[in-house]
Amino acid sequence: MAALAILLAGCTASRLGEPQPTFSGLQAVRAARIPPLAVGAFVPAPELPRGRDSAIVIRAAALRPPEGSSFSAYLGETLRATLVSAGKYDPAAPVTVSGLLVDTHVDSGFGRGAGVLVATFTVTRDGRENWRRTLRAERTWQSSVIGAVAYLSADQNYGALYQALVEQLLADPEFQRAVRPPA
Amino acid sequence: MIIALAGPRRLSLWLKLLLAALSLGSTPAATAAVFYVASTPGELDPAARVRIASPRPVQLLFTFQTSGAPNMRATNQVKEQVTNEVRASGLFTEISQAPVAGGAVLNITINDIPDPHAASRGVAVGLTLGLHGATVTDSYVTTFDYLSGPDATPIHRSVDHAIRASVGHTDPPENSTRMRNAQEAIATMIRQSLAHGLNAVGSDPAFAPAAAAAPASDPAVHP
Repeated sequence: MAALAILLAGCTASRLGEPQPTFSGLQAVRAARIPPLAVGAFVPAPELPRGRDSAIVIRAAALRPPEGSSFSAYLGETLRATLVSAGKYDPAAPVTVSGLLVDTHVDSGFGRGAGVLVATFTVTRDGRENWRRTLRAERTWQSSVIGAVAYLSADQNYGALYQALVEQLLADPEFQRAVRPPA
Repeated sequence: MIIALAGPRRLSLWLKLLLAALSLGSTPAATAAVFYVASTPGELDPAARVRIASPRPVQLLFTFQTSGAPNMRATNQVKEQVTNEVRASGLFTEISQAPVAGGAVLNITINDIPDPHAASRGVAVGLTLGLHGATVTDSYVTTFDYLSGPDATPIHRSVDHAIRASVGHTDPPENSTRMRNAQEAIATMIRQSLAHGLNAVGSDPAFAPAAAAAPASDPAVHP
């Protein structure tokens, strides 16, 4: 059993991969006619449980954000990567999108896994807040009884929540109105 | 057989688990995994390769998925090869992750669909010290979406492929080509899938109406 134990141990220090731009994200930006945006601070909300911004536990093993990052910052990086892919990221833009990570957790029980990501997004124009909304992304998946398999499934599906939440934001009509230039 | 675990970093966990389970046994038969790629689609016939008179730049987006979920670590591991294969297709003048002049975008997704019974089969092989052999299959569906500009109608194609791993005493899988190791199997699957899929994209009249001598329809590619 030694080798299997080594394999399992190897899964206990996993980190999310760096966010990559996606086709669906690029299409979401294009379809919404999003103007160039800046990405502001993405930080944990006060109600986020202590330590949750730096690690979540899946079957007694930790999943962490990329080295030097946090889950809240990862959400901002996912948004930035999406905007960059569509040519709509401009750090000097008058409109900035910021975020608070309100909740995130994973349930990787036997048979069914589930993940949740909740964040409050804020749009500021020339330094004045003009829109705020809390959005929630959920995802479920098959979860194996074998811990290492369940861990990897949870890892991948949990990572997908970030892109899903960003695309939910981009598809929000009120968000689109808030970031477009005033008529 | 810890070496087997450290080798194929790009393999799905199911295959890794199979190798791990094999390590429960100690005989050479139990610890040797042999990798194959499906014979179809095979290598692209150079004579069938489409030639583009006026290639354009393209923005390349790539995602490796496992069972439909983005696998960012695997994406980063094979991204360089995918970029090189796109470059080798000759369809584009420039390949960039950032937007390009004209707004053309090529999205490639490789979805690894692991054999759901791989781990239990591997355990069975290990417990019988390799006397009970098994072959597990990872299916790969590579999809291509090309947009020639911001408001263009997408060109969509997909290619099916598979990697098989045999362990213990078992016959080689049918319609498969043996590889030297797991890395070669992955690289071959990617090369063949991308060659056929990109060629089909380039052959679409909407890609380049002036394409010279577009080849006949490729049976390995699905619209």
